Amino acid sequence: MTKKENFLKGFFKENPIFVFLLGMCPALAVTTTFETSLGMGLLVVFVLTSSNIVVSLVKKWIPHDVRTPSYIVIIATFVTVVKMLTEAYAIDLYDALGVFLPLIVVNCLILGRAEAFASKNKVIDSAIDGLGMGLGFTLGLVFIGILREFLATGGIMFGVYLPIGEAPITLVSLDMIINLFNANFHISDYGIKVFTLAPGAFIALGIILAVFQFKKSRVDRKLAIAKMEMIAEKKRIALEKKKLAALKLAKAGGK
Amino acid sequence: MSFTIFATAIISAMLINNVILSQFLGICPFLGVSKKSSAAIGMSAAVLFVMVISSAVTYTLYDLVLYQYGIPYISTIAFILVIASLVQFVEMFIKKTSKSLYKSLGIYLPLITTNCAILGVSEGNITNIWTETMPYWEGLFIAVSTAVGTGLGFGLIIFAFSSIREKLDASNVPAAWKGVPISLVVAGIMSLAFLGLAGII
Amino acid sequence: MLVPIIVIGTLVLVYVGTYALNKKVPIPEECRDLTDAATCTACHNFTCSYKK
Repeated sequence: MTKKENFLKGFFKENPIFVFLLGMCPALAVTTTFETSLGMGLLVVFVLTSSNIVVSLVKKWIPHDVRTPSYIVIIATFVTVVKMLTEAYAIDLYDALGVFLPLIVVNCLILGRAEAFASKNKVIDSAIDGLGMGLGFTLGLVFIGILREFLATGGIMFGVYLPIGEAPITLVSLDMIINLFNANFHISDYGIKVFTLAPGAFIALGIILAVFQFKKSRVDRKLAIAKMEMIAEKKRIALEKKKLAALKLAKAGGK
Repeated sequence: MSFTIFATAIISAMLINNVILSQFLGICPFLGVSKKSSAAIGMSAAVLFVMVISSAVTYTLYDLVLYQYGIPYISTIAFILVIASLVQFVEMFIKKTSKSLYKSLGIYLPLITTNCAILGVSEGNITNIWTETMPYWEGLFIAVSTAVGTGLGFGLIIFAFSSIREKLDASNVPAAWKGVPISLVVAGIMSLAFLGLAGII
Repeated sequence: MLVPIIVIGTLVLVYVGTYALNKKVPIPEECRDLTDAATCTACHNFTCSYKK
């Protein structure tokens, strides 16, 4: 596997959320808005990359029997660092994530990558793997977050939770899109409020996963059809060869 | 008086703030649980058991050690270590004492360390219940009651869902929705139903 | 500065100790298959419950 493939595999082919269904708890809980999803994703990127680096650095000195405890300690240390940094520099994000910030410790993705990849590979590869997988996780979270926030409030806000130092700005809103066609048009109080609540989270993620499964089944069917066609073609060629051989034999017999 | 606290904590943790349907903790075992109801019961019994002990231990640790010595910032790393060693200890104890108990409950114990419901409840106890002025015993009582309620709520949903899975597997679901997507939508509908219980207390 | 190190050090020692002790106690023979099946109900091996 080249370094580029190693980096890119986490985005679509092995996406942690949509393909492996790892880290479903944060994927449902913190994706109320675009910004909290982005913040959570970036924190996971940091923890995953640094824990992968440290695990692959110390893998030679860890006895095989106490592997899992050591990984848990390493991950918990980085989560504590991240928790303190977030509390110091992004208190709004810290409040919004709540209990799910310390719960990064038990995210299956991080322990899974440490056991499956970082404990067997070189430092640089592990770092790239952590970065790619973490960014893939972020991509998944942000995708769900954008969908939920747009459906719930009719727009995407930026600057409410992340410390960008300016007043919150609206990135996109339904009014903006409609005003492209029809000037001075306002929809006040647009929004399907259920998508900010718990049921909306389940239903939104269910719809997204169904779309992924639909695409995957389409691709699988295409591959299956292509394979069947190939087999039929081979059979035809073999049959023709047989016929030709039989014809030759008949000619030889006729002489 | 104390019974009122107990009942309130249990109802609010079990039905109103249900651990799976409104706090999103323990989604993995919820989605992955097999349609066998015996597995669902074993899993939730193991979770309930570990959850009650671990919240008592972590609350005590936080109140009597971490807060007293001014080091509450290491709570996350201390809690995960406590929970992980507790799980190991309980598993070893059950393995040595009772084979039948191990068969029905112990096999789920190794999966519990990375179950976010346990750590989530311990962390939630600190942020929601613990205050500087609250006496130790009172706080411990509320924390343990909350843990009991949360564990029961977990068991309720897992058990109900295992029965629904049985129906789902027999019904004709469109190919794109088979498996996890339809389970999530069913969970969403269950969650909507549980929103209606918010007015009890 | 010393207290957090002592607390975490103790907890780590307790964890590693119980982990090693638990590894030494063997799983009862007849439960071997059950543990594998149980692993499928959590996210460690999540895919096997749906994809069979």
